[in-house]
This record gives sequence, C-alpha cells and structure tokens, in this order.
Amino acid sequence: MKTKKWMTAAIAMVCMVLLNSCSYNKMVEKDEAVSTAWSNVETQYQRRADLIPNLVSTVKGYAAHESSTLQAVVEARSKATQITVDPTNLTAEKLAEYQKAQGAVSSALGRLLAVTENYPELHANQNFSELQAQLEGTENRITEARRRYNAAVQDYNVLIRSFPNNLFAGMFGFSKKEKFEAEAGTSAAPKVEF
Amino acid sequence: MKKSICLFLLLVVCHSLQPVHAGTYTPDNLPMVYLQDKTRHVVNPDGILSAQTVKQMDDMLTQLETEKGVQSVVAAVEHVEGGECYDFAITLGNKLGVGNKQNTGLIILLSTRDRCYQILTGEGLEGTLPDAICRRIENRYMVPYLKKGEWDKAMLQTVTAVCDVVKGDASLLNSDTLDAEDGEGFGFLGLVIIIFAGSILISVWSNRRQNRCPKCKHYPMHRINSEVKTDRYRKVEHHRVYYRCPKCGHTECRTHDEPFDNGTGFGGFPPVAGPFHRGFGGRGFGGGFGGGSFGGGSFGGGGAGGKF
Repeated sequence: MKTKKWMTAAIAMVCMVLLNSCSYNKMVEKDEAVSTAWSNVETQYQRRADLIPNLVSTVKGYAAHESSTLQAVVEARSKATQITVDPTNLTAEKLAEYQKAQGAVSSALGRLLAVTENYPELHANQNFSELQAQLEGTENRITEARRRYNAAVQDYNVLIRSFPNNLFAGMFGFSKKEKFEAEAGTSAAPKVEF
Repeated sequence: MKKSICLFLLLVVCHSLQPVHAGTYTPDNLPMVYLQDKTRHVVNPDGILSAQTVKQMDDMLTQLETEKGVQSVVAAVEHVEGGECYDFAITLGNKLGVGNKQNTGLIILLSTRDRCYQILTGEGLEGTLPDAICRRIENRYMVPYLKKGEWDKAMLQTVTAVCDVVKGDASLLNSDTLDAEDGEGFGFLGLVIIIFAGSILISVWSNRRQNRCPKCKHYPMHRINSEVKTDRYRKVEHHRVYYRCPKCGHTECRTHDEPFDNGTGFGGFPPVAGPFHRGFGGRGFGGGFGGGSFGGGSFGGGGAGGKF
C-alpha cells in the first residue's frame, strides 16, 4: 500500500514535469512568433519612413508654398524614427509611445496627400502616382503587419494566461504582452481643405 | 393564433420582397472555379467579361503558373461587400492561401459597381511586381479602358502586361511544382516498389521457414495428404495437412482453421492492402484537368489599386 502511494506521487511528479516542459517550449515558440511579428511591423513602418523624403521632394517641386504641411511631415518622421521598441520589452507605455509617434506621421502624411489634391499637375506626374501607390501599399502592409502582430500576441497571451501554464509562465519570465489598438488619431479621416 | 399566422405571412412576404443582391460577393461566397478545374483562373460569375476574353486570360495564367509558379485569381464582379476592392482581395487571398511555397500569389480584382480595381501581390511576388509597377500597369492598361466601360479590354491588357513583367523576371522559377512532382512522384513510386518487394520477400521467407523440415532442415517438404472437417455450428473449417520430408522421411501434420463461409481462402488479403490505399488516397495528383488547390500563400498588402 505504501509503495503504491509513493508510485502515484512519482507518476504525478513526472507528469507535471513533462507537461511543464512541453508548455515551456510552446511559450518560447509563441514568444518568438511575437518578436518576429513585431519586427515585421517595425520593418513596414521603416519602409514608410524611407519613402517620405522622396515624396516630400516630389511634392516640393509642384507645391513649394505648402511648406508648413511638408515641414510637419518631415518633423513627425524624424520623431518617429527615433523611437524603437525592443521586442523583448514590449510594455504598454513603450507601445503607446511608438504608436503615438507613428500615428503623428500618419496624420501628417494624410494632410499632405489631401493638400496635393489641389495640384492637378502633380497628380498627372507618373513619378508621384507611383510614389503614392508605394505609400498606399506600405500603409496596407502596416495594417496587415499590425493585424498579424495582434494575432500573435493574442495566441501568446492565451497560452501564458491559461491554467496550468500561468503557474509557470511568471516563473520563467513570460509576461502578458500588449496589442496594438485602433488609434484615435489615425482612424479619423484627414481634413480636406479647399 | 390568427394574429401570429398573419404576422408570419407578413414576414414571409417582406422577406421575399427584399431586393436580392445577385452580384454582391464576400470572400466566402465567391465561386472559386480554380478548385474544380486548375486551368481556370478567371472568376466571372456576373458575366462581365466575354467568354473569349476569359479563355484567353485563363490560357495566359495557366501558362504563367506552369512556367513561373505564380498562382493567380482574376475576378470581375459587380459588387463586393463593403465596396472596397483591397479589403475584399486581401481577405480572399489570405483565406484561400493563393500562391505556392514561394508565396507568389496574385489577385486581380475588378468591381464594376463599386468602380474599384486592385492588383494584389503575394509576399514573394512583391519584388517582381512592386507597387509602383502595378500602378503603372493600371494607369496605362486598365484605368483608361475602365473609364470607358470596356471591361474586356481593360482586364485582358492588364493580365497581358502583368504576365509580361512576371515572365521577364528570370529569378522566378517554378521550382516548387517541379520539385514537388519529381520528388513526390519518385517517392511514391519508390515506396510502392519497396512495399511490394518487401511483402514478396516476407511471404517467400515465411513460406520457406514454414515448409522446412524441423529435423534435417531440408526444404521443401512434400504435401502428401490433407483433410477438412467442417464445424457448421461454429462456421469453421478445420484443415489438417500432412507433410513428409523427402530426405529424412519425417512426417508432420499441420492444422489451421479457416472461416467456413469464405471458400476462397483470400480473406486475409484486403486488410493488408487497405491501409496503404487509404493512406495515399486523399493525396490527389494534380494531373490532367483536375481541380487545383491553393498552396497556402499569404498576402502582406503589396500591390496597388484605386477607383476609376
């Protein structure tokens, strides 16, 4: 009888260790998936930042007196490129800061593109049209990258917060990660002024 | 009771009076003809494009898939849900997984009532067809004709231009299907040969072992006599077979039972072949004019689109 009890305890221990090691590997895997998704988000934002100087110089050639709008884009861009977030340290504040800076770029760009509507010559320019397509494509890529990042974070959060993984997650340093949220600044359509 | 019947009738009438949006598509209800026939890439449920144009585009796109491994869907519909071509295209692409392992999927969409169009490139095709090139193609070959309502010309020219660009990219090769067909073809054939050879060897070996004289190990022993007793109650036949070794004269009797109602003696065969048949049955080979399957490509938002 005594040996049987001892055996049960041993089996329970082994089961726990096995279960835990399995979920530990899963946690590492999901954590990496979040990091990858995050770096993709940053890549796409960087891609947008790289397009901006080209866009600004093209617009300048046709609409030189929109200098304040152009200046706003350049400033927002330089601010945004200074902020980078380490994927291993995705805290809510950091993410909010990053999101705010990129949101400022988005709204400044929106204003610039709205202003360009007043310049038919600029719109007829093939170079500008293609730049605009690149910018739109990049915005689409950003949206998609953010969607995937959110999905990866959700996957990860569900794993580390569900029982019994939540008991071990904290022990191994896996903490809940933050998602992107729809921004008040960027979801608003840019104002069109005539 | 009467009241409720009236109400029900009213509901039915109201429901039938609701306008039916014949040409409204969601990524879920768009008929994917490619899945039935892998030579058909053009989805034209509302008859916007002429049959001839569809045929021409199908031929070009099928060639593109075999040569360059670019899996494509071209759709011309009246109205997409939400009225945004990009949203529709990317949801469709990611849901179906258009594109092979190289991720070179391609979607070209036209929605005539929403007056929008979209060329969407898979993540592996973004280098070959950058956004700017997509826009250039649209500006040159698509939009001028779309504005005039010449859907056939717009789509045909666009597909032709896209095919030209893709074919011009020497780095793009259909390595995926080549590898898959070669590798899989050989692997499957090899496996079949190995299984057959193996089962023959095993049966020969076990036959020899069974039919060897236990005393002097001489092979084979000769069958000299046999008798069958039928147990009708248990539906079993008891077989007794006598063997004698021609070398040392040792005689032995081997017994085995067979099910009574199975006179053929081959009852044991199908279960051996069964699992293998089942194992490979679901795989499906894409030869001939069979249905295609999408290779799980993903779209990151590359491409260009607009309104006309």
